Amino acid sequence: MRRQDFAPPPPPTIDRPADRWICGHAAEGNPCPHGPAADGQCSERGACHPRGEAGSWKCSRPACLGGKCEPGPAGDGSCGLAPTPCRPRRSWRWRRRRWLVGGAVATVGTLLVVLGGPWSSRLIRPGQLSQSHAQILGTRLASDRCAACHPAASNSPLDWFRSAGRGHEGVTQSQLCLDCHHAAIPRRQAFAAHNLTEPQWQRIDRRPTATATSWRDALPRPEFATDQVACAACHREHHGAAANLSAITNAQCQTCHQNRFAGFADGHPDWEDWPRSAASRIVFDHRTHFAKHFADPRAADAARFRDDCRSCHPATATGEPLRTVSYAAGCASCHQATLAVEAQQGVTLLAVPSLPDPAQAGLSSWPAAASGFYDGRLGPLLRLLLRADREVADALDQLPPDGDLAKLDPDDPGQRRAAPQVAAAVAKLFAAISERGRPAVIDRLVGQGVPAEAAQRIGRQLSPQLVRDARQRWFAPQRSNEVQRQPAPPRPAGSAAPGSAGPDTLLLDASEASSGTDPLGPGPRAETPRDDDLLGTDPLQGDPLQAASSGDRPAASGAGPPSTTAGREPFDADATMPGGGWFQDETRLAIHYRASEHADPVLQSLLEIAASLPRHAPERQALLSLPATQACLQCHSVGSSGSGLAWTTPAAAGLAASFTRFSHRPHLSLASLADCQHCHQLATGDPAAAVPRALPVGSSPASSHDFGPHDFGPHDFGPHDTRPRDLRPRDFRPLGRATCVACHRPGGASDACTQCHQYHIRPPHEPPPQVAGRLADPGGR
Amino acid sequence: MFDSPGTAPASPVSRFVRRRRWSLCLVGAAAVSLASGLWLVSQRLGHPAFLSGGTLFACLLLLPLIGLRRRFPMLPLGTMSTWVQVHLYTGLFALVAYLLHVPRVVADGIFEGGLSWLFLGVSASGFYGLFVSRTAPRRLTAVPGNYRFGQIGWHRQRIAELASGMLHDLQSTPAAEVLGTFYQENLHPFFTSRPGFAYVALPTGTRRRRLLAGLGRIDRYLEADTQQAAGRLAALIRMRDDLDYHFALQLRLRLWVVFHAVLSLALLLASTVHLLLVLRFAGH
Repeated sequence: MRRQDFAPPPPPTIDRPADRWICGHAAEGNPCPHGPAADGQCSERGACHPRGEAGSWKCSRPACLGGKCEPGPAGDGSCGLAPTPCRPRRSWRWRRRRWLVGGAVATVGTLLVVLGGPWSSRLIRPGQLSQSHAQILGTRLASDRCAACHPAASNSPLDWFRSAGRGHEGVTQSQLCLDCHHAAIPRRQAFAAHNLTEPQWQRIDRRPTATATSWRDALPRPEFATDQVACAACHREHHGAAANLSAITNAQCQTCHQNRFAGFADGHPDWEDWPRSAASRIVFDHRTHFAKHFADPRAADAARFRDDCRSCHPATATGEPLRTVSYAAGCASCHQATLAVEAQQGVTLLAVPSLPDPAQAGLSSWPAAASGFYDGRLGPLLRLLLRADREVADALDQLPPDGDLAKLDPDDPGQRRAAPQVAAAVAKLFAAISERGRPAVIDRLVGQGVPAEAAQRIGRQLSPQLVRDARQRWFAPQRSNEVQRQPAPPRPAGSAAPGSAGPDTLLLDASEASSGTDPLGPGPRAETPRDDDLLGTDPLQGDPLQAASSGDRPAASGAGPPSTTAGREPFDADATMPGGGWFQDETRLAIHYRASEHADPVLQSLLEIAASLPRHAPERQALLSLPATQACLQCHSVGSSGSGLAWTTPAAAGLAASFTRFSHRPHLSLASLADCQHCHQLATGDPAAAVPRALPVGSSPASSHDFGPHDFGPHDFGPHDTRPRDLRPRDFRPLGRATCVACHRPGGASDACTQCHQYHIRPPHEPPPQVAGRLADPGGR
Repeated sequence: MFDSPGTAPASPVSRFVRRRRWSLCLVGAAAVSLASGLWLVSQRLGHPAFLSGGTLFACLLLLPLIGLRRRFPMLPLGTMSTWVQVHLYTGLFALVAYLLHVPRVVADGIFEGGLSWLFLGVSASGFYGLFVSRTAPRRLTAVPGNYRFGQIGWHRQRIAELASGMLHDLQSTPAAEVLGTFYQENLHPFFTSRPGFAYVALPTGTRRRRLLAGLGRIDRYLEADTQQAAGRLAALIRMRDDLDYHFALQLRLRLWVVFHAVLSLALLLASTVHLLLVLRFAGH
């Protein structure tokens, strides 16, 4: 049988799919024609809806529901069939709407739970923090973690719809970053490109280097100004614990640059002055050392230094080579002897000048040995101390510039008036130190702008008792046993005279050397006015202290007539003070310091004092010209911090916080690069070595004597570059880009910008910049 | 739209193919434009997520508008066919924008991860809807009968009444008893009950073949009149099975619409919250 043989009744046409309710009997196939009410209740009105015609009622049940019913309508118009109440059901349309509304309500409820509960910060967090931030913020309350970086997190969600939250009004996210990172990045410079201020940029030549233009130059510039670079421009959080916060592409690096290029091997600007030997603060000429000194077979350890760079540049525990070793390990074997000789010359703190007639000048109790004529040299340190007094400073200016009274013009009334004035000041200084001790020296130096540390270091070594003892003896009232200027003790053969440059064996013949006499000894001096027996004897003759101190010294032979102050033995600083120190120089009536070795604290202080003085101060050049300090300046130079001398050099090479960083460690691990001279080739006879190096803007060139190997910033020697040059030839040939490109290219070692360049720059000093080798000039005086 | 003037009108198939090509090209061009814009923004150290997210949100606002068009047919908003095409290709473009916005497919974080799953669910249901809306009508057309979903219950009742009335007309004979027993045991539950969940989820001919095979097995016990009745019952079995097949496919379509609409609404609400969170927490 086939389906078309069946003739089922037509389906009802009274269904209302848009209605909210449908008859419960519809599923049974017998829906009522009325349908449920709007409220979902069954109408219970029977199977039909009678129709009134001409005063009578007729059944209107459609044929699909069975046609006219048998009882027919009642007289009142109601259906004759008994109503069959049903349970109405919702139509499909309205069931679907209920699902939609229910879904929306459930969604809104879920969102409210997510946002409103104490777990909201954890739920809405868009990914894990990087490991470093997660560790730091993990100790905070959950409610505070988001607020550490997001200003809006400190407010309630209700504040979302207000103009600004009460918690962090005006606070930006970058400022919250700096709350933790301000130590590494100064706040006032944090949003500037490369963290450099405009003055700092001025020191860096920003003119475009000569590179070929490319289509990349036409790409748009960054979407922010170069002085409003937010942290989030490069650092994006919430990308997982292992995410690299500093990851940035080469193109992104270049988005702020004028000239853009494809890669390090393709289009990167060439350089001509890298690596700079500027960061070291030790003046060291590799060329002469390798060509001359290390080549001398007589030089100690020459082969070691010549053959192995690591003998002076050993590697640290991290694998980075040190810029230099200690003086004892690297330099002393050759330089100690010379340095000791030069340092022994030391410096004079106090010296009694000689005047023709002290009594007439109003100076009572003036040492007789310092009378009769103008003589004596006022050292730079003494002059500096005297300048603390304004009137004395004016008097000092009247005297010869180097403080040598022997050069005084007796016919100059100004100088004649100034000399006793200065002499009186010297006596007064003696008294001050005797009474107040070290503060008398320190206060005078600090009052003239000398750094307190340097002044205290000078005074730390000085014993006020030494000065007091000298004052008591030298400035004692004139008596028959007055102080005589003691003859110099006989020096052993080969020893140096105090203040001399070293053992003068050339002037001694064999007999004199064996006898221990000095041809310059007391014999000829006996004819000098200072050896006049008529001036009296030594008032300290018989002093047991003096006798005990001179007990070890060799007996003076040919030393002239003994002092009338019997018992005062001459003091041999060379023999008795090999380690240096302050002593009384009876010959010159001076308190003198004898240095002895490298890193002498007093010499160090002298140079720091000189560095703190104005450039035009006469004492500054005088202090620098002392033989002892000259010995220091042969190797040490000014630090780029501008605060004066920098005695130490940055330890590791290549790791400064500048635009370019370089780590030796991974390079030294390669066998081909283990030889330092593969990259650092001496520039002997190299024309490129004559290429001058530019110096920071604001510095003025001087002779090479004033320059040290310092440098700051990149260089560009264009025709309009007016920066001064460091005219000294280079030690090493510049390392060209081609050398680096051999490995750092696509497919090889990393050629990313961030491999070698840094964004956060910390200049080693603040303006004004300091020239290498020069002493600081604070305030531009 | 796609026919050149003065030429013979293109066949519906070729028009359909050309429309699809144009639409796909348009979506492709839009995707390339979006990707280029994102690359440009990232190179400028901007936040490309704002661009991709904004584009995606705009698509999410555009997609539900097809429901408005359906509810307000009196408004001059274009044909429903056009709106369907706009809805489909906008959804496709939204998927591309999503993948550009969330390259990892599922975002990190609990809330955003849930949002990702919502979007993926809506997208998956959209693709399913595209599939079922193209295949179900063809399958329904292949099955005899035209049944409106709301009247399927009425037709089911009529078929059950026809089947039960058939047995009452038979005289009481051993063959009629056999047939009656078979009806009571196998056919009465079939005719009087709704199809099961398994059949609705995956309508097959297994049930139909089983019942028809049963009728065939008892055929040797029947006589001429009962065999005729058995033949009618077999026809009614086929009719009922076809009716159930219509019910299953139409119910599937309707349920899909509900599922897709509910997920879309949830996605829209959650996306709005996500947008507010981003605007509030994305600082500088």
